[in-house]
Amino acid sequence: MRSLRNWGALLLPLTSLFSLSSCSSADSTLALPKDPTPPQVFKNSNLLRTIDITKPYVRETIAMVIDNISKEPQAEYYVPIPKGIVENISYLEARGEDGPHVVNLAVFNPESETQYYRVLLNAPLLAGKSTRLWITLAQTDRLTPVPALIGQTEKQFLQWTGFQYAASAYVTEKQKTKIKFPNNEVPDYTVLKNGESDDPTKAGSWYTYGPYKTVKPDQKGGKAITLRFEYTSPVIKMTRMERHIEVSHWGGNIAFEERYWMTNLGAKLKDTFSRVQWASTNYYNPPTSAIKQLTFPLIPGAQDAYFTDEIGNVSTSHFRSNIREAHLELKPRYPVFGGWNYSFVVGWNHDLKNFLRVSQDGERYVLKIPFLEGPKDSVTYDEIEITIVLPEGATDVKYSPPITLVSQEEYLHYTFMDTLGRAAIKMKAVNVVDEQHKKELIVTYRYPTMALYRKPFVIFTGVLTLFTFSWLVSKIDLRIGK
Amino acid sequence: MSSLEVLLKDESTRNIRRLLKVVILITIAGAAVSSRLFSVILDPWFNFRASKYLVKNGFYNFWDWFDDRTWHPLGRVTGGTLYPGLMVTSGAIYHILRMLSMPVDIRNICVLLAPAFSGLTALATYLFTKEMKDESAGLLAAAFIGIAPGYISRSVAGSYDNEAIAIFLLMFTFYLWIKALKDGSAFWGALCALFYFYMVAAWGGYVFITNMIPLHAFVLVLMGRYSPRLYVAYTSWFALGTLGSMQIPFVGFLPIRSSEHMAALGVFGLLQIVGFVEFVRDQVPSRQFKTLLKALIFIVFALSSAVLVLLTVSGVIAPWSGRFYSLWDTGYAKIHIPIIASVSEHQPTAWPAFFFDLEMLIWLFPAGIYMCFSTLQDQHVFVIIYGIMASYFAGVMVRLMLTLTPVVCVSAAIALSNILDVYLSIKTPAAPTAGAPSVNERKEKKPRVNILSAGKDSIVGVYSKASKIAVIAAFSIYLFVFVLHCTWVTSNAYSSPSVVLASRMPDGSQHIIDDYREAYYWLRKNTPDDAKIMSWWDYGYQIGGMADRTTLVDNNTWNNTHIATVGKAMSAREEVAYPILRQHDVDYVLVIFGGLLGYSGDDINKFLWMIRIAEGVWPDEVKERDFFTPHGEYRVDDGATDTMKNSLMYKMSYYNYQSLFPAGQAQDRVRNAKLPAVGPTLSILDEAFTSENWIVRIYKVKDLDNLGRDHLSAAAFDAGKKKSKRTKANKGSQRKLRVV
Repeated sequence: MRSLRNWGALLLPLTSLFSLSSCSSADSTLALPKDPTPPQVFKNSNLLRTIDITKPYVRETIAMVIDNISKEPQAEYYVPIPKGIVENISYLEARGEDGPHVVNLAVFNPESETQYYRVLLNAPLLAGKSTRLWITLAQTDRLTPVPALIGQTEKQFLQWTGFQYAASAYVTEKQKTKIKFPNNEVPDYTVLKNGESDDPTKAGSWYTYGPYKTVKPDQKGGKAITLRFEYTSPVIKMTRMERHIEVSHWGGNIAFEERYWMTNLGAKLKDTFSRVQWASTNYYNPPTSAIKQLTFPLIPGAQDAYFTDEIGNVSTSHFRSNIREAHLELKPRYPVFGGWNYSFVVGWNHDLKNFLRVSQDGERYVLKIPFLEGPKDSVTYDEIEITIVLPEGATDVKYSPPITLVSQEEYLHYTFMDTLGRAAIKMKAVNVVDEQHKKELIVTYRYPTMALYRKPFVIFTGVLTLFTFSWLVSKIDLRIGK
Repeated sequence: MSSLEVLLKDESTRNIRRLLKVVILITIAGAAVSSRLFSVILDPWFNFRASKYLVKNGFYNFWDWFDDRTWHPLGRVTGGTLYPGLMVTSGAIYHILRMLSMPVDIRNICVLLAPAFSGLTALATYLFTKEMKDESAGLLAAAFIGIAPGYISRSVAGSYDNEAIAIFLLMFTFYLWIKALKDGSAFWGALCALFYFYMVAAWGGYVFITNMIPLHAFVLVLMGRYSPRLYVAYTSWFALGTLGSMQIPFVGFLPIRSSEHMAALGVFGLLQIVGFVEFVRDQVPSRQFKTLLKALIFIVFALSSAVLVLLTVSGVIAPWSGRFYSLWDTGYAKIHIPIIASVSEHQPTAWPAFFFDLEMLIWLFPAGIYMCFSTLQDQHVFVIIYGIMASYFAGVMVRLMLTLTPVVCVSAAIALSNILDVYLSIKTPAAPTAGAPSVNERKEKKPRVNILSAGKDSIVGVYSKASKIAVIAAFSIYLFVFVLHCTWVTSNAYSSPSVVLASRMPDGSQHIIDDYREAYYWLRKNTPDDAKIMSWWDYGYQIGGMADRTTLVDNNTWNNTHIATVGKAMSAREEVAYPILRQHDVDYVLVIFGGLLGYSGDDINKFLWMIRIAEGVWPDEVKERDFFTPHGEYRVDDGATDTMKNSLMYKMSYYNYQSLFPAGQAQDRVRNAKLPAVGPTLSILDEAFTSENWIVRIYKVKDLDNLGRDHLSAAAFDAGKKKSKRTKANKGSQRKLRVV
């Protein structure tokens, strides 16, 4: 969300609910008062915050019961986010008893320390009533390796810093925070006193802070808590990812190609890399902070998978494909330690018929493909760019991106023997987490039968012209004398 | 069998024959291309990098390209020091395909350029051989050149070198020359000059044409075969071709200033005189006058040679270049230009190589030359000269096997086509002489010299079908074995690119050893973009291309001193090497080490060449003798000399190596040596990366010590040692060395 701040007072739609065409983000500018605090019309009567730090990003779920304490029905619930963290937010979603709500970033004052997300309840909550609300958000780049430098075989620890209380714009009567660690190895954590009892309480890899009595919004988050825990996997970040999808009606094929620029944000090597140590420890395959292997679970039926990088084919890959599964296992050329980079390209093909349907009225084609298909290992993405190239002659393209984009455009893509150019869509998003892998993208378009025969006709004409031309040339007499 | 006759000779089946011919040629081209696709890895990377630069920045920028990412800190005027033909060709193909809206990646063009041009070479060879004998010989020659390993070795897919297009240009230029000579046509002569120009732009081997054509003309004149056709063909080729060749910046004024090109100029002058003489003789038919003129010719010739020698001595004309001398004296390079001798493909050819690369063609080759002698028209003289010269050069340098292969294919095709002409015709000749003794094709051929002895009807031969079938069957088997051999050689010997090594696992599956690219990619991704990498020059192009980092020296070995500097740093003690590394801004040092895997092409084995080249420039500081034991052995184990053990190369190769083995058991599998129990220590370098099989080892050069100490004492201090006498002594010696 690096560029989010530049959007000034624009409101970014952050849910998957948007209709296809109205997805541009400039449609709803909220003229909000400069008053930095939202009106105190709600009260959180009970709140449970769950922080999941088992992945390289932080996933926070806040489940709460909200009461309308004002006299009128209320529909706007505000979620405060510290200004510095807005950039780290990958997504923020809200769900009520009646399904997902619309969420916007509401800018009261761009300079203010606290920024707000506005949750628009589907139906205004009547005065005195209460309802349940779930808010889910993911933050990237919040975990830092401490110590920042480790030996090649040492354990890697990550550190998370946050607050005791869930941030809320309203009074919270009862709350607690549960933290899910990847394992039981938590060498350092902030110990607080909660009345008489020790805070937090531990149960396996779950630590619980609270429960706490009434907390007012001006208490902010309360005391800071710092957690340092062992993280046995590499912290994989794709600084850039380009996904290119090409649909061919002629070949009945859909081709996927993905380019990754990968880096490991984990702890860096204290000394230089030692091959001896690496080779000797690799026998018993201990957990390591280096990226040794990535597994791409592809949709069954994938074929012709390949794995290359900037200097050619990488021979260390396996592709296991059968009816039930298709796994592409990649080994980078070298183990990618903390601070090291690697870039690569993977690609595969599918039968188009598994993804393409004709719509009910028989006029349109409906293409349903996964929006992202990354590795099984948990990753975050800085920037993604998804391109979908439809066959030449496809018109009236409509699509609905399942996540918030920073830009999208439709353009004409010229490739092999194209005369008109192919309709193509380019979508860009930033700060994406691997949870979005599940989402699906639907593209619909018209494709007249005549367009199918354009290319053979073009090639036929071309060859005919060539023959005619060469025949004409052979008839020219260049001799000077007889 | 008259239907066959009709098919082959009759005018009414002309179109069928033409169609057949086209189909056969296309099939041959297809076979030529497909047999080159066993494995694909782009090499050398420099040409690819240059092509990318050309496509990206346009032709004029390419022309003016100054490359500051090689030969640090000197840089290289790349645009003016390369043969641009290859890159311009692929650039042109790239733009044409783009125009036809086929956006092919430049990488794919580069990879497939050599196979595609080998298809064209087959066509050019067909045309050339057709001029020698007939179309059937042409088709045979095309088939031979299509799959001959001697040519495949330089034109597999991904082999993106100048030779990839040069052999096509060579054959096509020769074809055009023959055509021009036969017709006495200025048009063909001009075309020949055009392709000669293309050849000059593409490959340094153009000098071969520059000398072959004049030699041919000269021999023809000596044979008394001067004709106006020769005059027209030669002068139009020479005038246009020389002007054209001077347009290439790297060639520039060489055609009028260097000895290699003087033959062409001399023959040009000679032809003028001969032409003049012929003209005069036509006017004044006098026998004495003729002898007089002949004497005159030789006087003028001798005079001009004297002038040439004089100019050479006085320095106006550059003397023969060293590479050229090494063609006459195979020992020359080893003494005077070790950098040339250090390349394995510049070594003299071993006998088996001829059979390996050409198989049955090598014994058909003399037969074909003999056929040429028996007909001996102007164009056959060319094949004979070409055959003699090329076999000599191929014997001197392995690499020049490449220029021999086409002429071997041509003359083998002529021989085989003659045999097939005789034995494939079922018809019995009219004048029978019964009972020929044996099936011996050598004897058979003599009566076949039908062109010379066409009038005589003295055909002696075997007419029984059995003997014909026997000969044809034998040759079919030879041809079949030839195809098998070519396929085998291509897939086993010539399709394993140097960057990737293939081995077999115990279960028979193929295992790829990809250490080079592993290390290069590591450099590419994990070092600063402006990092300078020092390595031996063999890996310069690869580092420049695959790792995309600045190198000190590379395969374009234009600056011997710079290479010698690297050699000196590699062979010197640490404290001597460190100032050199600092002065050249070296950040990383890369060495190739095959000891773990038994990979013999590693740096320790090349080390002697580094020492020799360094010794050539600094004879006082680097001495080859010091690296040999008193018994004259080149050892790396306990018996190695101190100079060897203290050299940077030795230390980098074996650093930490012993920790892979139980104590005292460290083994070098290339040199079959047991290494010292205590491994070498490094104080000016840190190990940065070692590839999976230890083939590539990369070291980072340490920064200057914070306290101004030298690295040796800093390391000793860190290790908690007191300043011992040993280190003091070392310091002393180091100071002394610095003064030196």
